[in-house]
Formats: sequence, C-alpha cells, structure tokens
Amino acid sequence: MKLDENTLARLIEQAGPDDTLRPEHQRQLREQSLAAFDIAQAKPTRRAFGPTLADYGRWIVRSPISRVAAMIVLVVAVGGVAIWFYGGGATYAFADFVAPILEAKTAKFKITTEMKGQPTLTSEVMVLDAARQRQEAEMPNKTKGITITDFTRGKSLTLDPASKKALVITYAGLTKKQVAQQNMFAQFRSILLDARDKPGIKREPLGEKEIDGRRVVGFRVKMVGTELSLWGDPKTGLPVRVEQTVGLYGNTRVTMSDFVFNVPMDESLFSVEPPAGYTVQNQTVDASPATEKDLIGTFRIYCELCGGVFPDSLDTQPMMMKVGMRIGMMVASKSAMQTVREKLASGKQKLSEEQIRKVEEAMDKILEWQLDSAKKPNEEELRKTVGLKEAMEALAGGKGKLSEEEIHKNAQAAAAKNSEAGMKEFMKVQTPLQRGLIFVFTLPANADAHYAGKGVTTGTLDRPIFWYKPTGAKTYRVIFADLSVRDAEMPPKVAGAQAVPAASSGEKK
Amino acid sequence: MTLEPTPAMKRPEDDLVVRAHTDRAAFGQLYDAYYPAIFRYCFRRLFVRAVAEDVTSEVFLVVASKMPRFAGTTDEDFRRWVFRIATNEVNAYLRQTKRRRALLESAARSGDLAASVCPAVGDGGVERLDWPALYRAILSLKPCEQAILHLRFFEQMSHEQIAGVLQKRPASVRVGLSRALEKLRCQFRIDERHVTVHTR
Repeated sequence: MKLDENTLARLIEQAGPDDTLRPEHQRQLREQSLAAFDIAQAKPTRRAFGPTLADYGRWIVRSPISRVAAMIVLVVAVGGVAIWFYGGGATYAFADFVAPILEAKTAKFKITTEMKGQPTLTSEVMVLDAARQRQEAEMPNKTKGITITDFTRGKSLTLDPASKKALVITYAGLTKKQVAQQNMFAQFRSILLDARDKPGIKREPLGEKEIDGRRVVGFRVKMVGTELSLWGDPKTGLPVRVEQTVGLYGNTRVTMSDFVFNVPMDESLFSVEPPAGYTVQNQTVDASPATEKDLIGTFRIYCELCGGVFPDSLDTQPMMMKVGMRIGMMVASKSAMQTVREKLASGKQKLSEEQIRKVEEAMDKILEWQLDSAKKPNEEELRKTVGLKEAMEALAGGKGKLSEEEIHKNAQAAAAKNSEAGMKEFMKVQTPLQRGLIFVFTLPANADAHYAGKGVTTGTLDRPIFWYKPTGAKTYRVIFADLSVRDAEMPPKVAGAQAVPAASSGEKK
Repeated sequence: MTLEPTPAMKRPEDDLVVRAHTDRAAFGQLYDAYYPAIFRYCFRRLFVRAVAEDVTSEVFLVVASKMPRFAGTTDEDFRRWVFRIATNEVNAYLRQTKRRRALLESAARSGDLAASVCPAVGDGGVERLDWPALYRAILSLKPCEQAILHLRFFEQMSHEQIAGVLQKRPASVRVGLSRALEKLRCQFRIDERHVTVHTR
C-alpha cells in the first residue's frame, strides 16, 4: 500500500500527545477572559468608515521587543477608501516586561524588604553594571546606611554618615563566575531569565489592577525556591513592580519598584574607597565557594552558642537572630556579672566561688528570660540561690527588689551599652555561619538535600541531621549530630526531615 | 463561496456567536466551547504544557478584548478567527530561536513515548509514530507548513477552512500541505515500496 496523505494522516493522528486539559487553568483563564471582555465592552468602539474589516490580521506592526505595539488596518471598500487606526489594547507577554530589565545597561529602583518579625527596610538602589551597585537604606532608627559593592575589586564599603563610620569588606577567593553573579541585580536578572525561558516553569496571568493610578497587567511565576509577580504598564511596555517571595522557606518578601533604566550615573558614587573623615574598620571575608566543611562549621558554631541544640530549620534570618541574641545576652551577662562580682566581693555577705557561680547561672536564666518570654525560670529555684537577692540589688544599684519591668529595662540598657562589643563578637562568627548556609542554598535540585536537626542535641550518636547527594555521586553524604560525616547508599529515613528547596538557578556542584 | 445563512438556516451555534459580541454569559459559553480545541492546538504545536497554557491565555485575552470589534456572525467565522489568532500567537512564540531550541530540547528529553519509534520497514508493517520525534520533525518545517499540518491532521479542517484561518488561497494550502508531507516522509525515510499498513 502506498504511503499517501491518508495513511500518513492516520499515523500522525495516532501519534498525538496526551493533551488532557488542566481544569484549574481553564477555570482561571475563563475568569480573566471575562474580565477582559468586560473592560472591552466598557470602552467606546471605534468604527471604520465603510464596510467592516476584511483582513486586519495582515497588517500588524511588531517591534523587536514587544509582541504587539500597535495595529494599523487598511480597509478598501466599494465606493471609498477608509483607514481605521487602532491604537490601543496592545497585548504584552511576561517576556516583554522582563526585557527592559534584562537589557538595561544601568538601572535605578526602589527595593522594600519585609521579613516576619522584622522592621520593613526600604532602599534606593543604583546599578552601574553587573559588578557595581550602590544601595542607600533607611534604617529602623531613621538614619541612613549606604552600601557600595564593587565585585571586580572584590570589595564593599558600608557607610554610616551619622556616626562617620565606615566598614570595608574584602571578599577573598571570589571566582570569575561569582563576580558576575554576586551583584543583587545580576542575581535578579538570572531569576528572570529562568522565569522567562526555562521550560516547565508555571506562568499565569494575573489580569489587571491599578498601581499608583496606572493600569497594569500582571503575571505570576512559580519556581523552586521563589515566587515572583511582575506588573507592567501596557502603555509603555515597562515593568512597574516586581514582588518576590524569597528565603529558604519563603519568609521574606522583596518588592522592587520605581524602575528607571539606562540613565547616566556618576561613577564616583560607586567608589569603595572610604571618604575622608570616617573611622574605618576593615574586614576580610572568605568568599570562595562554600563546601560541606563550611556547613559542619556552621553547625558547630551555632550549637556552641545556642545551648548545644541544632537550629529548628536552615533559615538564615531566624538562625542569625538567635545567634545575635545569644551573643548579646552573653556580652550583657558578662558585663552584668562583672558588676555583680564587684558588688558581692565588697558587700557584707561574702560568697564562695561556687555560690557566685550559682548566682551567675541564675542571672543568666533571668537575662535569657528577658530575651525569650517563654523561658521564665523556676522562681522557687531562684529563691534558693544564695546571694541572688544581693546580686539583683547590686544590679539595681541598691534600690531593693526589682520589678519585672525594671529587670527588663536594665537588660535592654545593658544590651545597648554593650551593643558595640556584642556586634564585634557577632561579626566574628557571621561569615563562618553564613558560609555553611550558602553551601546549602547553592545545592542543585537533584542533590535531594534534607535537614533533620530540629530539637537534636549536638553529640547525639548515630543521629543524621543533614544529607545530600553531590553532583555525579552514587552515594549520599550524611552529617550526623556528632558532626561526623559518612557516605550512605540510601538517604536516611528520619521523621520530620525537611526537604531543602534548591536554588532556582544555582551553580551545580 | 459561502452563502449567507437565511434566518431559517441559522444554527444555535451561530446565534451564540452573535450574542457573544455583547453578552457576557454568551461569551463565557463560547470560551467553554473553544478552550479545549485551542489549548490542544497550542499544546501540539508547542509541546510544553506550561508554554501552551501561556499562549492559550494570550489567545483568549486577545479574543476577549477584540470581541466587540469582531465582525463575524457564524460559528465558522469565529472558529477561523480564533484559530487565526492562535496561529499568530504560536508563530510569534516560535519566532525566537531560543524558544524553538528549548522546545526541541524538551522534545528530545521527553520520556513520554506513547508510541514506538519510526514506522518499521518490513514484515512488521507500520507501527505508531513516536510523538516527540514527530514533533521535532514538524518543528523543523516552516511555521506556515506546521500550521497547515496541525490544522489538517489534528483539527480535521478542510483546505478551505485552513485557507480561511491562514488567509491564503485554498490552492496555496494544498501545495503547502503537499510540501510539508514530503519533507516529513524524507525525515522519517519511509520507503513506500516496503511499507504495509494494518487497516482497521
């Protein structure tokens, strides 16, 4: 039999894909289409002179960037010629609003960061190129903080104009690829590229709304590790607002707005040399690619500082907060105990070293209670502690028993007094703590990484707390609570293990 | 030549199209009727479901916004119009080399082999074609040829209907179809003398 059109037709028909409809998409699009229908009905319709349209579809002018910028229709009718100019209703795809961001040589925009339990931070950002950026942030205490980064020089400069203090950080060990990717804007562009081009990414139209009196159209993109909503102005084809949920567990919301592209910028604004008149502090940070060893280091430091218990989750913000508070408490406690020791030593009641140690323990518990209201110490035990009353009186400056409010005030005052010392201690551990988390964040999706350390005490034998499969490896690497590491053919089975979201476009390891 | 339907000949589907120019509920019914066909058309042309959904969304948002200006009065008019918009949107999407490459990579990676590979030569006769392979072959054709193939074989449109969608003459559609099929035969290296077909 000859393989003709009919035969080939039958074969082609049989070969079709599984094209089952997705009811959710059908339903959502129905609502959006009806909304668009309503808007179109509300607009006055322009009518051509003469007969109706014949072939408007032939005459479409498309710009290289936008899919439909304007439509010009030529209608030839019996008895006359009519021209109907249709100037509105341009249709934009997600890719069109992303294009100006991807193609910009320079950019200025506002960025607002909202984190649960934290004050909202607003910054003005200027981007000169992929490696140079300037961010002016409004701090919670209403002062301004300026951070300038220049990754080709491997440096950042943070300025506090109010106190005339400058911090210069040198990033040692940066690879070329890291230089290209460190800049916040470059990382954002990388996410947008994935959102635009990666097959299988879910993009859904959000319809229209008004932002600052402008009609905008929106798109939502869901990717591993982040969710992004982009709103654009169909009149200009430019992005108006981008809202992104970030953080390992989606607990941080970042909004970028007020975009201005390709404006000339003064290069001197991006200099990482401290201005004259500033007190300069220098710091070197190891910026080389993070490894498994760094993660073990993170666990070690965290447990040492936080009572020997692993974090509830590998989420940067809560972990850093807890470490910061513990360090603050330790510094305040140390300072307070110094005062107490001096007073007890010069007081009427002489206490032994053991008794003074017990007083210090009790004071620690009270201070910890100020930081965490859930940790109210056992009052009866405290009452039994010899010398505690005198110690509290010593702290109160001889005023007698302190109320809870006064204790809290004193703790805050001590913390404020010791904030500089506390900050210095925190900065010693900040980078090694973060490096382990960077290692986790940049694991690819197929690493199948999991964390199971919540509530586990360091040193517990044979208790897996983290595992992952390195790229190209046949076995898993398993980190145990005693910080030993072993290879395993299969991932451990631990109840409550949390899957670690992979980076949206992380480097492969 | 299409005869203008007399009132007696008017079908309910045509009436729905007329009402949908201004009536929201009627437009919703039209959407319900055409969503499956348009999505499937986009999906077969674009291979990746998420991309097909995106483009389907574009199509219906364009249809909704232009409905007041749509001049057609029959279901056939609407069908040609909506498929024309869909074809334009799909072609616009495929115009970017990067996108075509991504779709080809998806097809190459696809594990969804519902059918066995290429028509077998010899006594076994012609089996089923592999969809990813077929998709890649079709994607290598010109956009117009791709559209003709899809509309003909998957949407079961006549040459005249395809001509209405693509705004070409029926003769041009026949020539385009013939060329597309010849290119496909060459791609699959079918030897007509050795192929047998199991009829149903």
